[in-house]
Amino acid sequence: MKQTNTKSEEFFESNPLTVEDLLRLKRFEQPNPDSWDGFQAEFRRKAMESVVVEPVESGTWRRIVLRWFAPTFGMGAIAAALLIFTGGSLIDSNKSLTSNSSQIALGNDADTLLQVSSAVAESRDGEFVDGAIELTFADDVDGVVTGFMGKSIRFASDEATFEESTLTLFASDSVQQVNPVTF
Amino acid sequence: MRCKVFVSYPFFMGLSKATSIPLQESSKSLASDDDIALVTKAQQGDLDSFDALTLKHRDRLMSVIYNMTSNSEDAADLTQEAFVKAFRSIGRFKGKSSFFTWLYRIGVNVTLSHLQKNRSRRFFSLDNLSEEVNQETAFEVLASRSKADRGTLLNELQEKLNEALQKLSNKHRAIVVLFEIEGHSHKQISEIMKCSEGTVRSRLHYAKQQLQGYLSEYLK
Repeated sequence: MKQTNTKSEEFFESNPLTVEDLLRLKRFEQPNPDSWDGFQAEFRRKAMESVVVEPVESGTWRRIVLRWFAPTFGMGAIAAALLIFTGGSLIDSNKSLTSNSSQIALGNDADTLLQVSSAVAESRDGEFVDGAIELTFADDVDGVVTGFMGKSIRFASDEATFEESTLTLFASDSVQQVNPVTF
Repeated sequence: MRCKVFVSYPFFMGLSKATSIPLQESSKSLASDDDIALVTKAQQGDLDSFDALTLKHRDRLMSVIYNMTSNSEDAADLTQEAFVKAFRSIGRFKGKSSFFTWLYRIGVNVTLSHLQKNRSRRFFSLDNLSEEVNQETAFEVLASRSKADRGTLLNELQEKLNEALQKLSNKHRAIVVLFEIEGHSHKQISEIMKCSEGTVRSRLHYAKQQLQGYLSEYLK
């Protein structure tokens, strides 16, 4: 112990401690290994949640019929379709829908009006610029009504303008309801 | 109601025109080959590749966030948040900087925003110091001068260091953490913080002057 002290005192005399020396000690702070338990699973859950379409309130929509859509289509085609959507202009309408997207009535879909809420942009710490929700339905070969909703929103943050999109797939064997599946 | 089962596909945010933009040739050298391959796959919707990026970078990202907040629970939550934001934005990553620089920028911004929102309610929740700190020369020097036992000295020192860091402004602290603790270069920090290298140097200089005052009892 005495030897250590002597060595340290000598060192200290010739090398006084600096702020950098002290800060370097913080590198030895280590998180509890348990803190990673479930991290990836939680990340996956949050990541998937982050792409779920939020309930919509009212406003603006554009109907595009995609008769060619079927589950066998590659996602590239769907993505391309969504890109077409997001590049399109908005058509305003006066009617509105207050709905959870799981309860959209197919019989009235032509009149369904949806809007991207500015609250979505705010939840991303940004300011709403513009956005669109597009909805389409079709019967597939089994008589099941299918459809999907594409949502695009542009918002500006401190640093840049961002755009994000989601795609929700609907399915039902009833003309009363559709159930959403969001990817 | 019978509901048809559809394809299971990790479709995710960022499906904009940026999605299809490949990494720029000139910037490829800035990112590791592994990262580029994983990022490209992640941009095509491969969640497993993004998972791999998460596993690769989560320790260092959480370390940055922990040192900025001095709170291990907040650090874990904010690290999650940063990765989710990165996941949603991966389609917009164009490879102008390395992936980790881009990821750190998100992590630092998430943390700065959290600190700004919670400036009135802040408390420490410190990580444990590893045993190896006992071998560090600076600690040996301090231990040789202290009458307290090593354990007590370590606890006190850890608290003082974190207190001193938290007295700095958020942006000054971020730069100190990235440079002195995480070992990034001025250039990397300027990219992460989106400021000039000169700003990084001057903020670092000012912050260290401040710290010198706060930690003077250990620097005598």
